[in-house]
Amino acid sequence: MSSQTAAVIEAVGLGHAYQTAAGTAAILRDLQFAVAPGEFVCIVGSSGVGKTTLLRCLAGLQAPSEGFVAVEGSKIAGPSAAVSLVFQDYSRSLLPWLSVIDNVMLPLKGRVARSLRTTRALRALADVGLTDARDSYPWQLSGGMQQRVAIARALVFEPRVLLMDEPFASVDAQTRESLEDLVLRIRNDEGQSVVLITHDIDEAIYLADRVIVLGGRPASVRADLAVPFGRERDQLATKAEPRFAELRAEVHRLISAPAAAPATTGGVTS
Amino acid sequence: MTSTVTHRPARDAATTAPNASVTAAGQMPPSTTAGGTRRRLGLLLGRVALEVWLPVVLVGVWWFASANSTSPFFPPLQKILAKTWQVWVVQGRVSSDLLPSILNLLAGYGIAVIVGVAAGLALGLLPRLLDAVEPELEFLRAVPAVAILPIAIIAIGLGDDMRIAVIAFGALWPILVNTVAGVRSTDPVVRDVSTAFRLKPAIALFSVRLPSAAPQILAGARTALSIAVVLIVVSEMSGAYRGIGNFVLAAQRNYAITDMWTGMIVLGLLGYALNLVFRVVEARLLAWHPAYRKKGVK
Repeated sequence: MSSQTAAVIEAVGLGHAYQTAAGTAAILRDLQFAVAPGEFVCIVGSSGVGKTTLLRCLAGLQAPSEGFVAVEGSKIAGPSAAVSLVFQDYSRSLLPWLSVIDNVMLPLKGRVARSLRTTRALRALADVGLTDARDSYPWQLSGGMQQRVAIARALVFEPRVLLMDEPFASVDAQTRESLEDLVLRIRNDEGQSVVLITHDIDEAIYLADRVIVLGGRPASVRADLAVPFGRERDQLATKAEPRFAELRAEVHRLISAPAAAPATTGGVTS
Repeated sequence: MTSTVTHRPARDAATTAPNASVTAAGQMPPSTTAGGTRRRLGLLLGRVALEVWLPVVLVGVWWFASANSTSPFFPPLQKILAKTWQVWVVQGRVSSDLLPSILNLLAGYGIAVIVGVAAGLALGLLPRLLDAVEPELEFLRAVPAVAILPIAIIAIGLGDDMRIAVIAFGALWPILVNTVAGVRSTDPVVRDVSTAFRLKPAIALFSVRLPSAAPQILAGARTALSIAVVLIVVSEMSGAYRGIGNFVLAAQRNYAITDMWTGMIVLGLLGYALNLVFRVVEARLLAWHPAYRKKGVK
């Protein structure tokens, strides 16, 4: 299966439909995109469009009903060792019975010797600036700190791709900006690809090298836009660029546009 | 003591602690200064006072109401307490009767915990296995442990093995049922964490599923403990030549009513002491749980 390809993760003809009592509800249809090594891709769409379903498919937590996901050129049948995940709700994704460092070490348990586990977990905690909190419990930390623990846990096994599902949706605005810059810095330093799902257009454009706009029902890729700001971003300067405002208007228009293909093949059909 | 769900996940430990005496602990500030130590001591005394005021009142009422009793069935409390000291401490029945009963209880309860948690985990994680054996489980669960006694005697005999088996059988069900429920109610996000990080099955089991089910497992274990104390007496109804249950039953048959009352008091104290130990263990195992957290910063 290992075809020679530059993409570290890609969606190939990806579609998904849920079986419900009312019939088949098509969520995603024929999604096609690839993420290059080190690339930061944000996927935006209005809420309920199927962003989380897409992320679950990319993470291997959900088998798509059509098409497939390939990681480093190989079709996946479940979670891949090269892909890591930061969940939206840190208060549920961090395990309250484990200390911060034990949470971070969890993905290495049973795979790496204990001393090495500690070393790598401490390095991951240092990356997110939380070395001092190693022996605390997640619930003793603020929301922003908890999400940093979750990011450290996602980085600890040195994945090629970091998937993030609305990771900053439940923290305050200032914490959110510092977490955004943290993720950018980690990508710049360590070169992972990042696929981040958000409904926040500004966040998407600020972070991404490419913004993929989802829309319609079932959702498909409405646009795949390059963001020309380079790797170094600044919360004030980048957002003041004229191109930022243009992209923002364009993404906004794309998201709120009426469904291009009305319910001829999609929607709820039995 | 039949409620199985005593632990509700809640942010506010002070108002939702599973039992009343913990409520006072929720107000305890984490301070380490000398003044703080004195305040903590004061709060500890307050907590003890909260725990014992009702027993003190009830014992007082009993003491004075029974002081002039001439009824052979309700002797004065003073006489019962003197006799309790005489029979259990001076004559040494603590070691000859109480200790064997406690050992049977611990063995039976230990088996129930191990089998209940292991089987509960298996049934909770394998829904098809649960579907396959559920009718049989419901049948066995409905059989009162007292009714098992004659069968146990025929199958196992009249020795301590039989008594341990009866205690284990009775204590098993609350633990098993609560473990199944606890495992099945693991937060879907927590399950996704386990899957997404490709945890090895043993690590997913011991680091994720078992701790997440621990509050419910312990609620079941607490119910099982009080059942086990009841079954000490039941299991000594036949064939026993020692044990606190045997002592109480023999005293009652021989109209040694004051002796019988002393057995009641010792049984009550045993149940209380076991519950105290259980609470310490539980608070330790669930220190992470919202209802037990000591320093909920932010």
